[in-house]
Amino acid sequence: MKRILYLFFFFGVAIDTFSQCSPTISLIGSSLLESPPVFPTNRIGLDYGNSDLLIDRPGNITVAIANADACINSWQVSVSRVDNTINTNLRFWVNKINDGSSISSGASINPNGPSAFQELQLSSQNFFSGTKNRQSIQISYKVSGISVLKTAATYTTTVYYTISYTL
Amino acid sequence: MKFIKSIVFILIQTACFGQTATLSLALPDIAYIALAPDNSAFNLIGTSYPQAGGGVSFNYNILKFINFTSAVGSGVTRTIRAQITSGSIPSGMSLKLTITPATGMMGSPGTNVSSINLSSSQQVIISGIGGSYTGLGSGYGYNLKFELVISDYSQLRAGNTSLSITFTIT
Repeated sequence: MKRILYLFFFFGVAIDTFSQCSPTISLIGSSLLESPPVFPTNRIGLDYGNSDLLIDRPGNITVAIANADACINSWQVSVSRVDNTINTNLRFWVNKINDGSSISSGASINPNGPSAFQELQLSSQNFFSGTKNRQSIQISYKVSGISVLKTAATYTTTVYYTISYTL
Repeated sequence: MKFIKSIVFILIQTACFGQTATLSLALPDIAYIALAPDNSAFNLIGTSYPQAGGGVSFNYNILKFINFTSAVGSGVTRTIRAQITSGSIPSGMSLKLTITPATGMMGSPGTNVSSINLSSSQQVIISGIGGSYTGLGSGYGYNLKFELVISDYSQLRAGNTSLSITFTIT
């Protein structure tokens, strides 16, 4: 009986400790509506000059990872997308512009610094990983495939950010 | 012991937490039209046949092209119309406009009528334009041929007449 009580005590302490090491992710700039630049009149007869649209709002599209300072477990952020508009034929991309900051010593993030644009896929793809906490990781998006040949409409995709971690 | 194994299993399992962002791109309607190489004036000059009893012939102009860029919503098409918006054609003649598509237009550039006699009323010259662009400059889009056609010699009078012709995409 005494042994079982010890086990319950151990289990309770462990759960309490590790439950504080459950990193969470939060977003700023989670609803974005963008348009290509106004079509220039000197391009009448042509398509858009740039089929890519960069969505870069310094400080206004950021990701933060909250995690208790004492936690040593690592986390992994993955991204995927689900199109809300059928047959967009548009391609959506995301990149990490910087590493943000951390209030914890020994915090890490990988890759360091700016990352290359990676295409948002329907299946989950690794985005970046790290330890401890992280604030204000600046994100930008890119939409490619913009053309006047595409139906004029509002195309929407939902970007899923998932943080996974080991307890 | 089995109980302890279960605990260990619980402790090393991976957990997830997620957030979503909504990313929307609004592609606007676009309807732009231009004349290439430019919208400068040109002359159609009549020349009498150098023998008594001969008729009058006019030169024609085939140097103008309609360029356009069009983006449309689902199920929408555009139309280009032509109209004389100032001046009037002298009596006894008509101003014939012949439309010919050039190659290389992208998307759904529509369908042209073969020719019309221009008047002060709007007349459709190209219809069914969807998302499309023609190319920029002379040699791209739809070629326009302007020619004066005499219908009644008895009404011809010597003189100069200026006309403005407006092309509209809607």
